[in-house]
Amino acid sequence: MKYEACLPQLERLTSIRPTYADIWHEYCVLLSLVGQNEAALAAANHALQLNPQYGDASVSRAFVLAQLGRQAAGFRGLRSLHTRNPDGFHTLFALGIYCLRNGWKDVGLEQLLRAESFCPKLPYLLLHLAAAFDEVGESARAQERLAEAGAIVEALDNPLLRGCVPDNLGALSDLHSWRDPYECKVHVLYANMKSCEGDLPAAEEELLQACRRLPGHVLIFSHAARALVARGKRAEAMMLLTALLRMDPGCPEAHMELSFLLVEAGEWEVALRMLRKAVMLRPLYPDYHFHLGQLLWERGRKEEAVEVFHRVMTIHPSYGHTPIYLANAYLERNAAADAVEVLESSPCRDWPEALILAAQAHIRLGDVSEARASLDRALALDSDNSEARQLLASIEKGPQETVAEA
Amino acid sequence: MSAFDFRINSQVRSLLARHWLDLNKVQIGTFHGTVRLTGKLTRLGGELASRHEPRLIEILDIELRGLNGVERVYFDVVNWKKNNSGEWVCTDAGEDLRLATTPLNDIKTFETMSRGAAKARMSNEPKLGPVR
Repeated sequence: MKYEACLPQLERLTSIRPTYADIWHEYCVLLSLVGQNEAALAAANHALQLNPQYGDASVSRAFVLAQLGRQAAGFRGLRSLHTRNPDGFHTLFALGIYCLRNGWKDVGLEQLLRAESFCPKLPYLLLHLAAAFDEVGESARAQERLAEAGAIVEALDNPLLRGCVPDNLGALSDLHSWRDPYECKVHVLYANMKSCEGDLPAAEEELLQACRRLPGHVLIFSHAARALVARGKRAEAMMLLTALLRMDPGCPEAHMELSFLLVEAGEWEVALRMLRKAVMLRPLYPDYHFHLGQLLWERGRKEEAVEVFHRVMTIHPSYGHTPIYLANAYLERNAAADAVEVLESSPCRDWPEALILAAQAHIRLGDVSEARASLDRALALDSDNSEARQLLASIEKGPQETVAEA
Repeated sequence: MSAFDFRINSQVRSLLARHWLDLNKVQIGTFHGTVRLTGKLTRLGGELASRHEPRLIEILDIELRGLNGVERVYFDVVNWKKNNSGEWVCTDAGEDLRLATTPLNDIKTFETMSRGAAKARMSNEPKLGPVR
């Protein structure tokens, strides 16, 4: 099996990055795929030791336990995950697959149907449902789900995905093994390995094939889109993310990634809509809010932008460039003292760009010596900073010119 | 504020993607054409970036400065440091032993998992039914 080639790399990674739970989980998935279940269990346990809340690792651990004949122990692990997060799509999907794998077909089908109620247009879920209905002898309903999945994919009119849904139930035979849903991570691992070898076309091909195997899978589609961007195929990446959003409209990652690509293509307003949606879907992520604020500012919607920057500061008081942007907004509103206050209390106060902004604020406040001190600090950090040098030179010209330039 | 800062950020993301770098571990910020990268520069899949491109930062620096609107670039990443002769050196392996796990990714997974919470139903606990 070609995926076995990833094992040495992951072994090495677990030794150089022993505290990364996600690497241990990937190692578990790969070991389980190649039949080394005892070692896979140890890797899953290690991941969960590092991060007891790691849902993906809990799921994989359950499947490994089942492989080792300990179905009840695996089920207990999944049940506790389900209790913590009873309406999570991925939990329901994993539970459904797990139950079907262990012969508890009614329960499995029920969980997959619940998952479907949250994401009704996900072709890979519909394909699993078709296999599940087929397994319990409900061929008509199985065929119905298969046709539905096919219709959804064909309606996307995406050449990368066309024809990826089979038209007969017999072609779903590999789904009947009901394997760990996170096994799909091996496609990403293989693509990463190929990229390390400098073979980007093979990495892209692996991920696109995985997209065709699991149409609508967010992890696979996000990585495939990045692989396309990596190869300069921006339009195809946008098409893939757009397709993902049509299958899974509640996917925040796709909204976010697409917004950046749209901005590069000059589609500002659509990008703004995408960002707003991403924020709505993940209201506690400061980076999402920050990007929204930045784009709003650049589109001239400054009041709203400032409101968003304040929100970022509430969620994460020192998030990235937010204090700088907020200080800049204060400066534009002639609130130089507020600008100084924001900058001085922020962790980025010693960045040259923050020091220049602080100098501008001090000049507005008539405090030329403080301005000079800020600029001296900026130049001490980066002697090539022409902006700091110019502003310092303007201070020497005299207070009036300086204020005008600031 | 430059009218292009957001666009620069987008271009930087694409550029980092071309180097197969993990965008979840590095923060990109641009202000008035000054690009600053913070966090960690790591290849996707957790590989040490330096293993593939020992001169990664120098290469990125040149490429980033070539982007339209970029005035200057600062690398403020935890796993690369300048040595005494001013060369960038990857300090990754040693750094990793001290760093915690990657909780952000894990939290993201969990938030994705709870996406359907609004449609909560009365009885969620799965019960084992008869096997067909």
